[in-house]
Amino acid sequence: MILVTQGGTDEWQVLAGLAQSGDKAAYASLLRDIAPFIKKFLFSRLSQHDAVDDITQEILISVHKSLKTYDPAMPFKPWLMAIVNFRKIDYLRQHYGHRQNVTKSLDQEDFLEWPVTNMAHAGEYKDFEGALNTLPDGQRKLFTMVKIEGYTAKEAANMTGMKESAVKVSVHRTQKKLMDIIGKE
Amino acid sequence: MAHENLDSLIGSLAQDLKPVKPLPHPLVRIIPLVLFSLLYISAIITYVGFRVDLGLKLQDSIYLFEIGFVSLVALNAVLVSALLGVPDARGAGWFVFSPLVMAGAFVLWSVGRGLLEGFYMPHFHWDACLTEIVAMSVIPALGLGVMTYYSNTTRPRLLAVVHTITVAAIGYVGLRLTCPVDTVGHTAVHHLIPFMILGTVLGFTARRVYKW
Repeated sequence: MILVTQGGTDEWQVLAGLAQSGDKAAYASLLRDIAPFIKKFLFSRLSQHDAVDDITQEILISVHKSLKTYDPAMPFKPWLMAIVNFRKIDYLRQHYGHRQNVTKSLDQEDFLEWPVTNMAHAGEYKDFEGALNTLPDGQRKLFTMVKIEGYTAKEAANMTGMKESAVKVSVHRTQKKLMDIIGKE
Repeated sequence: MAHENLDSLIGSLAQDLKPVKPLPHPLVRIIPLVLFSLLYISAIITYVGFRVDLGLKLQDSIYLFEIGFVSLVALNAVLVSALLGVPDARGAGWFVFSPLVMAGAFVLWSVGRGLLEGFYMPHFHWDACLTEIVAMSVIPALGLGVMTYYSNTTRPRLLAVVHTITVAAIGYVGLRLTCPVDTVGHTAVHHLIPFMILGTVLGFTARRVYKW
């Protein structure tokens, strides 16, 4: 008698047990079941959505390689999640290790949409600079520090002697003002 | 396209499937390694010769505690090595960190002993006790290697540390039965430093060494 829970975890446990005994249909069913689960998990935790399919494939191969280490008497999900997290970290380590987070291929379509590389957007920076110059000095300085130079609100507050909340409010208002100015033009 | 790839991958993985025997429980898996290591260490100790004052030392409660505790560390570390060879560590949770805690307790205990008795730091000779260390730890280390070969760890760095603790503890017990120098300085510098170096190297290369 197989008890299937709402999440299907116990069903996976049974399928994994059958897969260990060589049941190819059960194994294919298990892999087809866990693939969308893995993809959903990775989508919610990785900002590089284009890598999700590759990592999912890597994880399925890892499940295949380590099937012998699964104990059919134990729940399947913790075993699977250990592999998922391990491969996810492997990917992130490689991704950041090779500085792929700060490099972009010229073949990527979204890269061509960026204003700096697309002539259709030429002049947008000038518009923005122009809008920024219309602001009072203090407001412009704060906005530049937080939104362009990358200081946190707390750091900007310390440097200007303002309260952190005041910095956040000022930056938010400046942003709205800039959007209004650029929007009008 | 990606879905097609995934589907074809699932198809080929299912086609490649061969029946596999689930790994036995870690407690069962370590039995051959523990028995073999015990026999091996006994053989090496018999070959090298027990320390001359062993009869006297066997009446020393501090010495007996040290040998007993480090043996327990070794046994615990072997068990955790087997657990870490499985992706979910069989749900062991905090237990996988117990060898680190025990090793830390031993270091603290040694520091305490050193403060009470004096450390007596020796002049470092790179080859002091080295032959015995290598002789006593190489085969248990190979045994761990074989056990790891049939495992799939998801915590390579922790496994590297636990392996180092295992081999260090086995070697340490063996050396305390053969080397007549009892000072904390000697045991720390000559009996443990080679393992610390090994552990550091293994720690940095763990992701490659335990790759699967």
